[in-house]
Amino acid sequence: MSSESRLVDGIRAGSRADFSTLVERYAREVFVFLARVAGPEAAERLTHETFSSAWNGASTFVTDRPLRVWLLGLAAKSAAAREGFDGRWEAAMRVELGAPGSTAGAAPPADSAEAGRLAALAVSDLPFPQRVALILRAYVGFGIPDIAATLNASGDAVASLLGAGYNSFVNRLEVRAAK
Amino acid sequence: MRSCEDFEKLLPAYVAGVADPVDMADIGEHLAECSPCMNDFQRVVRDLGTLKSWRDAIPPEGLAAGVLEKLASTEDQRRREALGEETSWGEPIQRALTWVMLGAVGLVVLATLVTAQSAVQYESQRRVCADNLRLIGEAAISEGEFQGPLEPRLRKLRKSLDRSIRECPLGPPLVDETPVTLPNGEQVSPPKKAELFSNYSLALRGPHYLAGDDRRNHSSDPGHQTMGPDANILLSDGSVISVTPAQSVLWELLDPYSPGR
Repeated sequence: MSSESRLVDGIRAGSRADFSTLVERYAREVFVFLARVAGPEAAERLTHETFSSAWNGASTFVTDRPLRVWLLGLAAKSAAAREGFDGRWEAAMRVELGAPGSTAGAAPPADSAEAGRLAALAVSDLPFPQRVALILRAYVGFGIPDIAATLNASGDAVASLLGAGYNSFVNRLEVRAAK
Repeated sequence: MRSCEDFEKLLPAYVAGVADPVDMADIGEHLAECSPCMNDFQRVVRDLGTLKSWRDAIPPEGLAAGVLEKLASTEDQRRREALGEETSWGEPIQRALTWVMLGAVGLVVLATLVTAQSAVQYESQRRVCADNLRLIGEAAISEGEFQGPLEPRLRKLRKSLDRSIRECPLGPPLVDETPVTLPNGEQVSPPKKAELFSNYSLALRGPHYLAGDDRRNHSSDPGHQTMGPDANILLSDGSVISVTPAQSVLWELLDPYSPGR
């Protein structure tokens, strides 16, 4: 049994110490993920909700998956509830891809801070399912299987969401840069 | 055969490394041959590169401690709610129910006390009445017909008899099933006594009772006489005496229609 499984077993048994360990270990990563998905203003409250769900729903942890996958899945659910997304990832994948050059504007600025600001704005413009999938891929570093496990969606749905998400991102970034 | 536009749509996923493996190979081959698409490829690489410029948000100080504190607070609140200590609407209802229950208990206790008091009072009156009736009965039996010598004794009794008989609760009409033996040895069962003790009954609850006829039915005037001159009075000890119209003292004692009663 892995240390992560033992940790979750302890939480299931009501161990505050194990839960404290979990929070200390993952609070920052959950917060950063949620700040990208839902904005820094909402991130703290959603982080609280995520760990509250973890404490109350430790039984939903699947032991053959990494603990991060489970926790970020709970975080994504909290963010989805806030945005009113119904969790139907399969339906969200049916997006017609536009050509990324069709609305091509100016190149992004060379200044790193400004480029980062524009990237944040472009990501926030994405529909929620594409945004979450792209952030899990680009920032958390998950592959398609882990994203699928996190979102409780199929691999095909995730691949489709990522294709659409990256495509939309390029379009929106260039539109933002042109402004 | 796919067009440049088809490949262009796939370029972001290709650059991000999430395109379908078959597409990945096709795109690679196409880019090697198509310089406009290669330019688009370089633009997409540049655009996706900006993602790396988006820095992590900085978590607030004490985030983990705050999470734990908030959770503990939520758990405490749930526990209190589960115990019913804090509900916005439960407390007033609970208080009202308590008052209603206390009120109900108070009413029951009060009713019990009043009933007990009434029962004690009734029993006391009944005993006084019964004792007085027994005195009359004993006197009547020892003296036979009420003659002159008995009257002074009855007068002595009269004061207490007057008051206590007046206070005696009127019971139901004679319903005692026990046959009564008359002085002449005849046994009379109560239903038949309707004729014998017809017009009024002054009865006490329980075995002691006194009954007889209305004095007006027993006039010495033959014109008013309806049931014979003498009244038959059933006394508390089961004996029956005959009272003539001339025995005014006894009538006053026994007749509820007597003037002044």
